Amino acid sequence: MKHYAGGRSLDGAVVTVDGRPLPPRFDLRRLSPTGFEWTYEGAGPAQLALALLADHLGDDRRALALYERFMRHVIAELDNSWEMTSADIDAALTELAG
Amino acid sequence: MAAVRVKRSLPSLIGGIFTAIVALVLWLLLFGTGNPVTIAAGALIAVALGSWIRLADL
Amino acid sequence: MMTPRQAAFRTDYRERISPWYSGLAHVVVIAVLGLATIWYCAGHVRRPSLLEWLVVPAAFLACNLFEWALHRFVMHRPVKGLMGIYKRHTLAHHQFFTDHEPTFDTTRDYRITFFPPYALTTFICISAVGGLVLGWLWSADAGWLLVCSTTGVYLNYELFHWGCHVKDDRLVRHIPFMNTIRRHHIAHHNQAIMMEYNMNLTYPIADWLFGTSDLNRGLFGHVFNGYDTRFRKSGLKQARATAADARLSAAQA
Repeated sequence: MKHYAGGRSLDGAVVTVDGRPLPPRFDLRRLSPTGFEWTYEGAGPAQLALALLADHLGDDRRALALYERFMRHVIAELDNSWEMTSADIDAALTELAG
Repeated sequence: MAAVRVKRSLPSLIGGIFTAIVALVLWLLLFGTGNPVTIAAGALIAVALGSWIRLADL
Repeated sequence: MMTPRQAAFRTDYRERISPWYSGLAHVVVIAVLGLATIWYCAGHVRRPSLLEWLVVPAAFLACNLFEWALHRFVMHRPVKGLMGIYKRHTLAHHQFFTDHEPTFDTTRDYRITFFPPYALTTFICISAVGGLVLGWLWSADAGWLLVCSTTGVYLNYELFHWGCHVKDDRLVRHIPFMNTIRRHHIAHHNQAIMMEYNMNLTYPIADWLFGTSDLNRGLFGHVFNGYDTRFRKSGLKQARATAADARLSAAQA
């Protein structure tokens, strides 16, 4: 079970997976040249959605197919300082599919 | 007293210089350019202001 | 009631403030630069016609829209080339002040409350260019009135924003417009809505116009709302997945 966490600080809008920086996956799609953000719909949240799904699913194609909806329904509502687990992401994806 | 870890930013340097220039221009517009003492005072105030902005890391 | 995260941020931020910094000096510099600019420009206004006087309300409205747009698209979005503004605002100001604790404690906290003086001088220079163009296209009086107005609005903003974050609101709560923007701005510091709602910092006109207000009221109701919370929109965003251990560091091994 992976643990994802994000927070805003003087060091930036930082996101980790199990304590390590979450790769932004610019290789898949460069949506936000300035990195991650959340709590709204836009480039930064879209990059975060893509990176989260790519890491969680281990399937880049599925991540690319799902990130926009995941951004709108999950990332756009994240708190200033947030955390979620693999189970949380699975639950959200099930809800989106339903 | 704990050591202060001040890492001055680039904007405070550029902003300090820019504000000093604007302040000097404003001073000269208000008080004129006829008197060298007035000009010198304005320059001194402008430099002091710009330096303070930098030192204060504004 | 402050969260541990907010308290930790405040401690860390205050440690980084230069010992050369003075909140009082900060405010004095802004006031002197602003008032000197207005004094100089006002001294050049001769006999404006009624039409030329309309530059004042037009500039006021333009500034209101500009304030909304700058806050919405630059201060709350990481934009390449303008990251310093976003960092200073979303990543610092909004971590220092939240809707749980929106007030400053001492004048050293003015460092995170007031814009740096070079923000004012930048706006003065931009206005001066506008004043020159207006003066060339129309009349000198129109140009001078433009710069007077925009600088006045800026000083208005700094005063009102201070009023939003001052601890003792015994006076502010009774002053029209100031009480309105205090409620409006503290609501904006709710981290669930700060990225999208309540972007005005003086008068909530553009927020009403673009539907980015947390209130369900008309324009008059918005501007004279005061501390009233009866008209808050239902269904505003609620933040989710809040970190259980909301400390400063995002990494929890």
